[in-house]
Amino acid sequence: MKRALVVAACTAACTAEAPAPAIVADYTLEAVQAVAGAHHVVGVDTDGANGLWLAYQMQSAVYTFDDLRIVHLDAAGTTLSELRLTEPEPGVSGIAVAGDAIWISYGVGLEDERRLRKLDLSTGAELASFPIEAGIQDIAVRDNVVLMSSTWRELVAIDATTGIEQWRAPLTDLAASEARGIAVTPAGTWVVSSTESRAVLVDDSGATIETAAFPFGVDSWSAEDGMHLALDGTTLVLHRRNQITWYAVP
Amino acid sequence: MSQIHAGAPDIPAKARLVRAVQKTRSMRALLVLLVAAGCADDMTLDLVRTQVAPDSNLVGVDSDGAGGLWLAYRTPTSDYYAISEVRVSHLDPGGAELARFTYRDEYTQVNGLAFTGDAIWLNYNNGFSDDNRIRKLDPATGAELASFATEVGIVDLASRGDELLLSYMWNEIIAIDRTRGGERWRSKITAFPEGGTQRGIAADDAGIWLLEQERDEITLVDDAGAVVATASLPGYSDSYDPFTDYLSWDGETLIVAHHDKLLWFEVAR
Repeated sequence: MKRALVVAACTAACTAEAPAPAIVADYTLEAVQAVAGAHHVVGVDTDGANGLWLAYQMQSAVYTFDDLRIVHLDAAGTTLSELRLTEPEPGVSGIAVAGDAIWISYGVGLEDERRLRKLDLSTGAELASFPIEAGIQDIAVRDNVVLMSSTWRELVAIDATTGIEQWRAPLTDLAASEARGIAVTPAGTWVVSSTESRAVLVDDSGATIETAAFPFGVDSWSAEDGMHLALDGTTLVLHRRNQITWYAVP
Repeated sequence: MSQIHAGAPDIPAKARLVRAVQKTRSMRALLVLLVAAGCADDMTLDLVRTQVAPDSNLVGVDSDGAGGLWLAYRTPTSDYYAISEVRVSHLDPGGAELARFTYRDEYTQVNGLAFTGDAIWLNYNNGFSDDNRIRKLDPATGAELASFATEVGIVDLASRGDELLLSYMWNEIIAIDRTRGGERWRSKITAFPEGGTQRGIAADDAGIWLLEQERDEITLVDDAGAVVATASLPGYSDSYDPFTDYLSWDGETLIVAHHDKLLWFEVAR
């Protein structure tokens, strides 16, 4: 078990009266690259070659969601492909690309029509669709399991073929915040905290293996916008405020 | 002329400094002298020109680098979320319009414009439910070349080298690269009151110029957000409607766009 380090950080949210919130982490991540999404980003994944899969939620008016655009960008930012989904759907939070298919998580709120869809990446044809619970912030795929991070601090695993829940684990280390972005590694699953500027690597029981602090400090604004996570080799790729940033894990 | 804040050196030294400054045309050299003499806040602004904008509902200004201006206008709508007409206009030094591009495809408020020679950067930004982004436009055709989605709160923008400098209303400067929009750094401006008061932004070799909504002043800061100098803005007496809005630097003067009026200020003694 690595020795925990306390990292003090002060951000725009800090005032002269309030002390700097402390971030408890094993180490601090270093930003190595950043790009902006072209439009409002609602999901991110990587292609394993420093390229990105991004989901943009287009809207012509407030809370009026138009087409969802899934774009594949190469390392230089050139668009390799774009899939436009124009049928009306609730807001998206989270995508995961696995092989020739893309998983998309629709609907976060209690009033939304929530479901997880699997689509053919080339044609957009629906390959599978499962109803899901409220509060799913981001998704990842590991073998034949879709992992989902729940706002209310749980990791939920469902069978990718049947949609049947396999297990769920509490993320007790995030008790002071909510869960957001999620990414899988051979060692475990990274889950981002909504307000604490850190991510925890957990096993399938939800137990924390290690904790990493983000350098941007504690800031409550991001809890409203949504944060999504992906893995590019050993580098964490975080979407936050329409910025996609690569963070080196030491 | 309006003079600002105290802290002057002894009179003989100051007199020598005045003579040196009077011979100096470069603003950067001026500020170097002021900083070296320990009176970096001894800066004044002279209002040298005013003009009513040729169109109404001015929402952005920048110099074209040749004595002319790029201006952005947005027609208000009765429905907050209705698609609005946005017009981008290029004026020559005499005020003749050289180009005009019209857009009717967004409902989000426009807040600021920057021109970099190869592109016009138009900032759309308002609330959390808006389509907040910077549009990169072709200055020859008006066509959209790229788009960078942003966070809420960007109220003006400027360019410097290969960066765009964004004025974040909750008192920060955010620098992004012009190629892919990635954030490079951000700095907090602690000199401004909390609550979201920072407004127009411009940049040059001397630093970054900022407007703030509660004072008729311009503040010059460095990239770390430290104040280098401040100066009051003369020639505007409406105390209930402080200087806010948009700022530009044309190589010789600061240009403030406030409502539908343009004001040019020289930095002088």
